[in-house]
Amino acid sequence: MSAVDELLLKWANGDLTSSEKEELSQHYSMADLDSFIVDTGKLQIETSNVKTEWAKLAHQIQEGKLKRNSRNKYKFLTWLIPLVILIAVGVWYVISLGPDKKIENKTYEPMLIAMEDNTEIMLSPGSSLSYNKSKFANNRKVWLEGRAYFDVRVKGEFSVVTENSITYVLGTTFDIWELADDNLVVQCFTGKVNVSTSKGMEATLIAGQKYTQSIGIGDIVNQNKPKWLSNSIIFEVVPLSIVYKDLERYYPIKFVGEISNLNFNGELPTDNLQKVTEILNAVTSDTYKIENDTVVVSKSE
Amino acid sequence: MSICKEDIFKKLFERCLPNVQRFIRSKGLGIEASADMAQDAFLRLWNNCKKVTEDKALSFLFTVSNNLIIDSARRTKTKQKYLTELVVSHENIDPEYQLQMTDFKSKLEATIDSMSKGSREVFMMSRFNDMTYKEIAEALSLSVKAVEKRMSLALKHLVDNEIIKRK
Repeated sequence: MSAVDELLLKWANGDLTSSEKEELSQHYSMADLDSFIVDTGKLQIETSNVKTEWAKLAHQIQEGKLKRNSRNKYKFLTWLIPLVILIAVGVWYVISLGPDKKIENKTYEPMLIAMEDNTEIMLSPGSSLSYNKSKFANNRKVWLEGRAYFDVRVKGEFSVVTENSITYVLGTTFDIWELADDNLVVQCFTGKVNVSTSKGMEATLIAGQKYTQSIGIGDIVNQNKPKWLSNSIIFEVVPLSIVYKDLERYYPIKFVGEISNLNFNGELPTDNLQKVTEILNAVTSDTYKIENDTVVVSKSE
Repeated sequence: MSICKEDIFKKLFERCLPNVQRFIRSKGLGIEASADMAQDAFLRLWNNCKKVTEDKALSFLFTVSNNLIIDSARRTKTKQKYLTELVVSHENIDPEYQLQMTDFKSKLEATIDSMSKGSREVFMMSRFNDMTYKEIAEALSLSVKAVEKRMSLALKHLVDNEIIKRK
């Protein structure tokens, strides 16, 4: 960027000093620039009436509260009846249908798991997968802690249970990622998936769509497989404290120091820690420094 | 501060709604569609009020709005065609100036329409949401340098199209 371009940039942000104004005036008429500010100041993007919009939103919020209250009136039934049934079948369920095999990825690399039905699962570092080996042929259900990419090759129901969700698929490729603190991201690359969370949210995703628990349904951009399989992770509106925890799965390090909860949006590599710190240094207001097996986070002055 | 109390949320809504609607409209949606989308974004903020602090609310709303726009375009199978629509404020403008403004407005709209997406977004937020580069960076979860780069390209585009004239 030339010096003049830098000055123009500062002008547009209202940051010019007197001497900088003098310098810019060698290249642009300040009267013309002032007119631009005045004229664009007289233009606006039309928006709706705030009071009217609040009335609409308040009504929706109230409707949401009323629905919760009417559910609460008979709440005792919603747990009493299932509890009785649950106790009756609980022991039987644990013995006969619960997982009896657990696979843990204790490395810093993705782990390939080939299931008995030819489903291929890439298990991310620090994650674990459990299933009932003897019943799997008739009941394709797995329990996931962490993150995994699934390539379900045989059609028919396949379900993935995490701590806070269940995802049902019908012969498809998809990625499920339950970060810490109740953040869930499900990406559907081919086929169709249905996601239900413990908070009552439900979403059906078709190929090319993703569901992020804090944002909703969106598009998967420029990917036909999750980026973490190609050594990078995309984070969307994720608190930095959780970003650090996830990075600790891929690198043998710990983040220490002033851990904030500001949100991070961006892509970080899983095979280049130096690059990670360069990116974080550039886009956040904190300073990151690698010291042996720690990354020290401190506030910038 | 928690935004889960209705009176606090209302103040946040009143403060942020015009910004959010302008952000959505700057992506080409009409006033009614942008009002509906903004409602949806605020409702999601309300439903996630325990997770989002007040200072991060606007960034959350912009991110949600962006995803809603992409999702909407995908469902209707249309590529979001960008069309700037600005209105002239009618505060004490004489008819002759009004005519000049109309002409300026058309040229500016056409120039903004032909900007790249990233530049357009930053330019609109700077000029019509009256945000500094630092505020835009926080709202879009970008670095200030990234915002400055996009704004620089926007200004270059305005110069190339003689909306801003060099000596």
